Amino acid sequence: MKAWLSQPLIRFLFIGALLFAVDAVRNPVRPIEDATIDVGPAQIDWMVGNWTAQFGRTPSKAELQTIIDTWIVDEMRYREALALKLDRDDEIVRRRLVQKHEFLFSPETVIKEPDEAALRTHFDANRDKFKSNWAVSFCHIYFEIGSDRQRAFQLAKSASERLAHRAADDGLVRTLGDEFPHNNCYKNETENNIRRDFGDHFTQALNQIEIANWVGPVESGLGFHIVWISGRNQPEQLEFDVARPNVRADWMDQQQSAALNVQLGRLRARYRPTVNEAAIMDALKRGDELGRKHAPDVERNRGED
Amino acid sequence: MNSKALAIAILGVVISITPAIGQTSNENTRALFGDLHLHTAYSFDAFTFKTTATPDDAYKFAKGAAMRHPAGGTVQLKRPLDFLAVTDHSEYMGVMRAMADPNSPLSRVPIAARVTNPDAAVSLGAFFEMARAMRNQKVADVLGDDSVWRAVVNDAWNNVIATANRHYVPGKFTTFIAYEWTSTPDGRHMHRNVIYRGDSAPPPFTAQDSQDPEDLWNFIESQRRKGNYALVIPHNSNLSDGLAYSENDYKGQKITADYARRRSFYERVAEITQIKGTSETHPSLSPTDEFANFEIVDLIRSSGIKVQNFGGSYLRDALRRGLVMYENEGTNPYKYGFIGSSDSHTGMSPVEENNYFGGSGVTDGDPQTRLDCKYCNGGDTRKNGSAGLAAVWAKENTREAIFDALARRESYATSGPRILIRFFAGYDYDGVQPGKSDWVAAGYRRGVPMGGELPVSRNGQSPTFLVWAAKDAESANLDRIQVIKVWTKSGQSFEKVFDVALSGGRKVDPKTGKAPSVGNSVDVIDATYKNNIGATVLTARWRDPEFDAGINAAYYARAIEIPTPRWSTYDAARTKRTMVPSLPATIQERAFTSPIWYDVPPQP
Repeated sequence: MKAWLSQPLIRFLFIGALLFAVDAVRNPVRPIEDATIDVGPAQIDWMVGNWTAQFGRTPSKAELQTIIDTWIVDEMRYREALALKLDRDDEIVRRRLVQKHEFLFSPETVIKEPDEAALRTHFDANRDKFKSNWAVSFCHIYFEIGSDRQRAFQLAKSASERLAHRAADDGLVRTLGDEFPHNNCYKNETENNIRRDFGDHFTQALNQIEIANWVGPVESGLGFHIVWISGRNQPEQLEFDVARPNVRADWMDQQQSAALNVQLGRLRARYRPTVNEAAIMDALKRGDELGRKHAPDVERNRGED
Repeated sequence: MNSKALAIAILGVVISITPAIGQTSNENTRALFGDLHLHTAYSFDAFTFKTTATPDDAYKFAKGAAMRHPAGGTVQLKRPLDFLAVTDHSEYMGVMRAMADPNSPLSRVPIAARVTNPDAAVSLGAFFEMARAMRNQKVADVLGDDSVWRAVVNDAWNNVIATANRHYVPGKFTTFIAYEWTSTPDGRHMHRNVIYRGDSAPPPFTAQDSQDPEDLWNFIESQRRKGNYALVIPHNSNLSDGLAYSENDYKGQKITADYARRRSFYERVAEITQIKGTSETHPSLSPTDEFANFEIVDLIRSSGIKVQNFGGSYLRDALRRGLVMYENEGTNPYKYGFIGSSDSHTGMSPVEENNYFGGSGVTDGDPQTRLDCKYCNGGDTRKNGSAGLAAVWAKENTREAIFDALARRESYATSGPRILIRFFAGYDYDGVQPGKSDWVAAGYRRGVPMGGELPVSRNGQSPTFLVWAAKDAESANLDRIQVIKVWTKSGQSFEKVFDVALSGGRKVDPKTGKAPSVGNSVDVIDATYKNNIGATVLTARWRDPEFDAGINAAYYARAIEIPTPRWSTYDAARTKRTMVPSLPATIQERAFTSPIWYDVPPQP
């Protein structure tokens, strides 16, 4: 094979063919359907307007001529690029067109109000969706962090030890801790409201804590807490009358996604996608390696302008 | 009775803009956080920034859903909002979207091709041209026949109403029917949002109908008589070049008593901070306020005008001007409470500093583009702040409760974090200690909350101010609470900043009148900070040492966080790039309460 390639004549033919191919790309002899490029008054007005907005003054005639020339060259390149199908497999072009299509053809009809029967039917068919929220009832003793985090933690820890196995309303409770900015006790409180007052970490921790005992220290965005949980309501199915607003909202959402599905269905009917199953398994195995290939190659560059 | 006389009659009898009159028991108020200024693809400018989100998407996002960003990727709020008003520009509402629709006659107007051009630089140019046409009342030149685009606007408006009503969940998530009235005389912002209280609203009164705010109030007044209550909320006064809080009206005439009454009746609160800058005060107006230089923007992007007149552009100055007018004429047009909001043009509120995704679609949507200032023609978008929040003290999360809190100005602004702050003033607060049990009930019963008016002092007694602030559980500790006092004497106005609560046992130096700095725990390279300085809660009982019972004054409180990284610092760390030297690496986020006024009626 190698010997064959080293033959001068073959080399010559190969290089010749390559040059020809490059030339064909660079100087395509293709008939152009519409060779006119019109630069009309609207276009020129826009160029002047855009320039003026950017630079705060009207362009000179020479500057405008340059803008027009550049625009014409761009337009020629743009048309050539389209003819050569350079827009294919270009992620930026693709994303933009997808966005435009989605935007233009997404169903956005004003959905009519459902009647009572529709709501009932929807409720009956989706009972599992309409449950009471997760809710928790608890009291807590708060220890402000202040300037000494370790000290606050120690105070909370020793308080927790002293409170072990004591009752929720033990006389000791009132003597411990600092003034909390929000409430000391919460009754059937929702997750969002607890997160608002205590932050993420504490809210998650509440799910893990044993019931009917003083437990802590548990950390929040505000300090340390000793917590007594009196009850945790797991979500339960709601009565129709209580759930009505949620049923209505869900019904509306469903109508909208149904409309979207109709549209996607029409789209799917026009295409026959095939996916290479073997490639899926293979690529998943090599995830790390593939990830490294795609990572942006940026130098850490600091302290310079 | 003509409409003006009727309005005065109504004002005389009913001093509230809401139908819920005389409800004064507010002991169980809680803070709700939301955004009353957000644009979607229905806004002509947002569309040219390649925003595709509709009002429906915006409400879903505010409730906690993930959404695709026009610049790519998916974003989601770590904590959902309690309320949201989608406020698309009423001018051209939905029109740009129609331009992208080949079936609409609007797709054939000459500018349509540029509006829908995939290159953001081109569509941004089209936006500038549309904005110019609107400013100069030459809409017909770009859009052609009125009837075509007006029909599109009506469709869009009906959708705005239906969507707001569909997403309203009383008690949990509140929506408002709303829009932006985009008056921009000579390129200077006189923008206002109109927020309705109920579940229906007439087609918008737009800046194409009139650029004069008095005409807007006339319209709101006529709606009020039909039971459609609305508030008008000015914003971006920092970009008004002195027009927003001028001594003159839109026509250039000196403000009359009638004008002042109408303005303070329909405009109860103003945005003091949002993406396009903070409008509290400018360093040149408040040279002794060491915290004045906060997220200042002074270039108007849509018109390229550099602000020259800072007086009349900022709210502290407006409070001062209002007091002077009250002293002279007995009426105060500038009795504004405060809110923050986003003014984001992506359908998504970027309120989290460490989760900033820009406000103008693809033109500032990703860190590279933002830091490179790729689309900064018109104005440097790196100076934009991450969005603010509107906070209200309301009894419940409903349209009525939130609207009424705004109407009584029991609202405050934050620059993003959910800082809690309460502020009361009264003459009977002996033994009331902020933070101790039942102090809030006593605060309401024996005095007035933020936004209120103190009765005239008897026997020269000095009022006591109660202020309490708690850090956001997910944000930084508090550095201090300040009370800002503005007052007038003999037609002159003054201002002074008092440090009333300082973390870490610091004291104000009596010689300089300043407190030592709280320090700075920010690691700029990694964009992290430690909460090992500052306080969780700060409180104060404060008396004005210079109180004079014969002098008009207004007081508002400002709670300030310890320094944390600015969004641009998070961006630089995330993309492993150098920070932009002209931008501050750290900021001190803050909350601004609505003022409490002390008015001395002029002697006849």
